[in-house]
Amino acid sequence: MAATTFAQRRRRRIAALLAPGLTWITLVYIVPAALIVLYSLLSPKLGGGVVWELSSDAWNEVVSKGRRSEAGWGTLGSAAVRALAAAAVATLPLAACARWLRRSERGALAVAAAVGALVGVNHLASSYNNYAAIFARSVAWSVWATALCVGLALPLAVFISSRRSRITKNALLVAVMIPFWTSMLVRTFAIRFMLSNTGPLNSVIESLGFDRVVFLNTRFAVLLGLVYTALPFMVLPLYAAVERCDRTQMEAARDLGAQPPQVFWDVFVPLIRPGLTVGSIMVFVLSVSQYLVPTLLGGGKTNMIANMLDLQFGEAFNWPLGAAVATVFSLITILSLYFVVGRRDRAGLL
Amino acid sequence: MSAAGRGPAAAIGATAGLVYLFFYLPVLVLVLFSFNEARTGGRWTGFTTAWYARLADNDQIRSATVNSILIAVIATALAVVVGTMLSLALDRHAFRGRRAAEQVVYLPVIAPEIVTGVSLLAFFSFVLSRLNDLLGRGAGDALRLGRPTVVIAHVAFCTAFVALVVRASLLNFDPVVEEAARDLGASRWTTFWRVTLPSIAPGVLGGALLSFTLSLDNFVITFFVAGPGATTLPIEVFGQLRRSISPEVNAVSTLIFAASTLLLVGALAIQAGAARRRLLQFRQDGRPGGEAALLDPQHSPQHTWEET
Repeated sequence: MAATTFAQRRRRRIAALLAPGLTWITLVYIVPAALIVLYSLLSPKLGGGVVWELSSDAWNEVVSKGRRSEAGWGTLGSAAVRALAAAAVATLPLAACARWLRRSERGALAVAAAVGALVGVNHLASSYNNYAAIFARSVAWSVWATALCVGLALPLAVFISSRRSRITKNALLVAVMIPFWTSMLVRTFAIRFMLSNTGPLNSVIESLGFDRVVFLNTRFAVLLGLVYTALPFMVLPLYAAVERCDRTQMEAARDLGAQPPQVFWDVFVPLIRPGLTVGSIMVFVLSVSQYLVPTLLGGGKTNMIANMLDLQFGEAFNWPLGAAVATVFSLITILSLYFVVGRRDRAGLL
Repeated sequence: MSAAGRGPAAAIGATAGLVYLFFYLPVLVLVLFSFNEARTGGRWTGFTTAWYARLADNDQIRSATVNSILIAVIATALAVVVGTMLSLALDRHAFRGRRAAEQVVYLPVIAPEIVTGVSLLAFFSFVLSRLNDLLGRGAGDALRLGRPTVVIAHVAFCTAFVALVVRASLLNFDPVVEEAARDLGASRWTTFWRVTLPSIAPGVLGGALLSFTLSLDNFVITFFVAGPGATTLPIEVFGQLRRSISPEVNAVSTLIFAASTLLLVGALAIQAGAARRRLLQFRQDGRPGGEAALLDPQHSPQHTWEET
């Protein structure tokens, strides 16, 4: 038996502590993701699953313009190049706006430019093919939801943070954490019940002498649901950031003659940026992959990415096609994390 | 905000009030109507607890609840051990690849659930079909998606959350105490059981309660990996919801809401007790306090944001 050095024993101890957890998470999160990429290149089996034969059909359908094209690997190549070019043309202005939004001192202007770019991207994508349209719609709605959450959560965070008594502060925070930890299903159902055609809201509207309003299965209902379910994820990190930010800097800016909008955009926003970034990423990732909200509040008329995945894996049983969609979706999520969010802000997240 | 003056302060207060109303009005209306006599509609017709009584007789709901609790207990028990080990390794030791290990641990926090769900469905189907071939099991006795697959999936994300919570409490625990115990002759195990664990126990317990809640409430991932044999409560409720809107669904939703609120308050009470003790310590040591970070056990902003 060879004597073990201190360093060796230490390394073994660390490995033993890490191994079960890392293996487990890798097995559930990384290995299946790799399998999905492989599945996207195989042929569908009737009733779910795959036949182990290489096929370009799934990717062809996802990247080709207009309706499905039945073609081999050659045309897939050119279609992929075309799709990439189209995606780049569509999303570059958006990415540029997002970067500008992070740096710019003219915050309001950057927001306006980002909104313009987003509307443009959505318009362009919906004329490309059905998949691009659903992707663009999901991304656009999630961006709207994120923006609305910032708009609602920031005043709330400032309000909680400016309470004097610690007990009040903690009570107000717990009141945010209860919806944060309440089941997503229950909260989505609460909105559905509220908005349903014969529901409480319509009862109030009718008793006031107005006609019933159809709220459910509209864009309004989906956006409301996205904001409702994601809002606590924005409030908590924003609150931590506001609590942490140094107010004397804002007072100094005021004393030196800055106007309130300038103090807000040039001093306050940069100070709370870490919280803003973490909250936005949480809300965006949660919203863009929402399944319950578009299903229960959109009634299948306003599909998002998750509905498309559910359809391919659950009902249409075209696993390779679903796998290709899931791969594109993961790529979009990873890319938006790495390019839209800067290195310093990522460090704040991870 | 002091910089913004009095007018904006009123607007901020009003927005905050509206946001709280927005948070609670739909849920409270849901709770209220679970006691409504009328079978359909949004009109209040009278108080009844009949829907709760019917719930007690509903076999599907009962078996789904048992399933949910069973899965949550097993997943939490495993996740607490594995997650605490992870956080000890990540917090106590500097080693090559720590950054990469951290990224893996954070994966369940940021990965879109729906992608995890469908890829796990593909993965489990693949593994199970290979296993069935290997064991020579036919259609009758084939291994299928069920409770074990749900537990495997739940343990993964629960582990990540436990690791985050425990790590937050490790940050406030001085390793010098451990060294002192070692110097006084305690073995590593003794040090862990008698020194480290008691100090981080509130974090571990808080992590356990949150992991239990997460497992109990999870819908999307479970939806894909449960198969017909392991219907959990959220999946059963979702199914009933799609079939019809009955006050029974309101009643079961109310109970779920009450249960998760109780669990959260329990977790917070444990953490708050620890936070208060730590706050006293902070005041004595003059180290910067971070009550906000302690109140938010899910993320550890205190730690992570200091890096930026």
